Amino acid sequence: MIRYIAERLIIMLFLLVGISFISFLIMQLAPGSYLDTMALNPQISPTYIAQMKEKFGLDKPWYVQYGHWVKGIVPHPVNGNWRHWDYLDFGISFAEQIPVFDMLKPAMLNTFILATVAVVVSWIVALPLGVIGAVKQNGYLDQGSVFFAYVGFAVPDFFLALILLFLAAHVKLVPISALMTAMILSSAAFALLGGYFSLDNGVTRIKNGMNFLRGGLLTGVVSFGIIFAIARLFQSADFPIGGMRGSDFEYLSPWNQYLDLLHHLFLPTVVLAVGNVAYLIRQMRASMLDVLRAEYVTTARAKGVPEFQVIRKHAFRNALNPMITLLGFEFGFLLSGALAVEIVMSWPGLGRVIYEAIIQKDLYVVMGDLMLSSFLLIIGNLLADILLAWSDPRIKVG
Amino acid sequence: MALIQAESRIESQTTEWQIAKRLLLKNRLAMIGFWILVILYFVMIFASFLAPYEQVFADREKNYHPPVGIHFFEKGTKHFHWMPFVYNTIEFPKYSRHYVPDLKSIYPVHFFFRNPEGGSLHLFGVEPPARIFLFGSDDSGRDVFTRILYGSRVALTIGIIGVFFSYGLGVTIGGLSGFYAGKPLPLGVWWEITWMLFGLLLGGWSGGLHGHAWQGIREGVLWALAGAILVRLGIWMVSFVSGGEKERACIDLDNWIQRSGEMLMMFPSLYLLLGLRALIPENLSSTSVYFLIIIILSFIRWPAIARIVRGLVLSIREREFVAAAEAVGGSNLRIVMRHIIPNTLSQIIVLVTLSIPSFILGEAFLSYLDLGIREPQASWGNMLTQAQDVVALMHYPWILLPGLFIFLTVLGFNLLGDGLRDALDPKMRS
Repeated sequence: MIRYIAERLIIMLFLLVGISFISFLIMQLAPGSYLDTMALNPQISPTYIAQMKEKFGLDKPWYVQYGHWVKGIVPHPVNGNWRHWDYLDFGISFAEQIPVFDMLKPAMLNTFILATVAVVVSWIVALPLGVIGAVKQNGYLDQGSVFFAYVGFAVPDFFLALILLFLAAHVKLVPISALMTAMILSSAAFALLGGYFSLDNGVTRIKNGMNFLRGGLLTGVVSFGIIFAIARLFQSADFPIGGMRGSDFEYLSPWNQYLDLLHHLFLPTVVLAVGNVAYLIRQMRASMLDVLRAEYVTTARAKGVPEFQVIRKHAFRNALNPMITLLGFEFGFLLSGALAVEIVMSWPGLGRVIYEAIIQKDLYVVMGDLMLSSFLLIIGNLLADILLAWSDPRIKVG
Repeated sequence: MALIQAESRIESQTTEWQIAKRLLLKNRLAMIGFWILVILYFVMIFASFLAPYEQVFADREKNYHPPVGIHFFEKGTKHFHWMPFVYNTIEFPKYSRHYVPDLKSIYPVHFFFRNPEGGSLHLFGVEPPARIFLFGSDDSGRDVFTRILYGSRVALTIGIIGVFFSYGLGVTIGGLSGFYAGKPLPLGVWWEITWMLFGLLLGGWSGGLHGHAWQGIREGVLWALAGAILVRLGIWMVSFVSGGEKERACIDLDNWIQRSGEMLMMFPSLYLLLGLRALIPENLSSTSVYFLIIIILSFIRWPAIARIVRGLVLSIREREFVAAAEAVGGSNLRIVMRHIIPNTLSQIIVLVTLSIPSFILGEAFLSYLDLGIREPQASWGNMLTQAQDVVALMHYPWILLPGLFIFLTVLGFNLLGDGLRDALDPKMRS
């Protein structure tokens, strides 16, 4: 196991070198820089810009710049003084005039919070639904999740975020009962449509259609019920339109700060989770269906093991292995999703920082951000690999 | 009777594709997807005729106008008209963006109408100053319905062109990778020979272009020799790094392709998308940006495609008919082109259909951030940019409508793609 982890860490080191090179290359090839924009400002003297250029070595060839940049990131002595060491120096932000890492550290934490909560929530929702979908194929929960998967998969993240913002802004204007009625009616309409155009035809169509109808209704009612319940939990029906903290965050007690954070976290998590749950349900269902056909499941049943134990011990555990591999990709998926959500809902994470930095051509911020976001992804993959090796002993050997 | 017999004869000779077609036609969800797409593409083709206004038409007096009502009965008098009509609206109070209908006169909807203010022939329209804003108007008084129709040109074509690019790249690279998996490529003298010819041409061309013929020859020879030495050094280094055989320099093409693909996949895709977008100058025309977005998205997507194609090729490579083709002396290229690629075709079709949405979503997102297609060219993404203003979003929700069309398009491709997979994959037919 230790050997396996060590191998993965060495591979990770190589990946980081490659990634740092690509991040650097991208920004080198980009036309224009923040200093060019500064040069247009008549209040800034050309000598100052020349100074800045020299300070950051922007007049040197690219390989010197790259070396300089990498040297700042790895531990290095300050000014040749071997007693003082410095590390994770990603350069300085031209726009904000602060070290890049000071800017990215809180952003990384915020993105990490958002992505982690979204992962946990979507796995808690998706795994049981996937298992039930496979065990009771074409049942109403199954049809409901199929219906949900199609819708959740097709909605662009940023559009869903905009819709939720719109709803959040209107929840206090429109009576909850009216919203609820509208929600139920629309889900019923979808369900009726779904029932008519159900997956199979022939005799089973009517039964499946009914299940689809009930599933669609269930999806609508349950999802709205959850939103409603949580809104009540916070004792206010309105959600913040973006941001991560309330304006009075500093004056709250730690517990209320925590509640405030949850309050702000709710809508972004929903946006991120919808697409993810849709994807995970499908994967879990397929994986479970695969396993249920296996001979050891039949054997277990033939031995007289209770059905619940067959599902839990024999099928579910084996169906989980391919899902753990997915957990690694999850981080990439969610980091990308988080970027869209962060920009729309002004969540102060890595995505928002890179967007603003790209608009301002803030060279070192973009490079550092690309580097750190892929670092998060690599860590996610590494954890998934270790988890997989732990759950499936075959991996370590091969 | 003869007909039934003929039919049953056809039944017995059905090919895989015919079975797939029949299964697809029976799949209701897939057919919904298909018809959604047919309607959307039809609308796209005739956008300029179906839209009541021109793409850049703006009525500055009517910004954020709500969708207009189309009436048959006059308000108050309940007088019935056979032709539907609209009322002109007046902003009251001024600059409030609150519009009240002017009940004094009615403006019937004309079909095959040419706006007297200029412009081409449209399917329908009304006389100015009334406006037929079916989906309302945006911040500068442009018709949202018209711009959605024009915006479909971007969204509906970018996916198709995009998959051609990305699959061209992905299938070529993935095919090579799969075909050479486990067969390290010997780096023989032909690498240098190829380079020398290329260098001769390159040097000759650049030298000849700037000076005289003798300069061209001199530079050509220089390029060829220096390049050949560099190539040999490179080969030694590559074979040293990738652990090739001692006596013969080898390169494991598969390994190199997969590792470099993995490197790209280690970036979260939207971060990479934004990062690569920074490479493009700001002030390009919409057409150039359109193609550059395609190239960027293809560049991001090829590793995933190449990986899948490699897997497909690896599984097909082991089949008997490839061994047979090799035994009768088919060249590598011929085996790949005639035997391996046609056998991956059905899976590729499914993958292509299912990856069109990622291009549509990528373009919409970039345009939403104002990094893609720019005004005045309409795109569903850049129409949504206005919704970034929360006040506008709250009070004028019709500016969200383009998002609904993105949703419908993506849904259409997903439904059709899933249906295709069920129809084409023999394992799914049971």
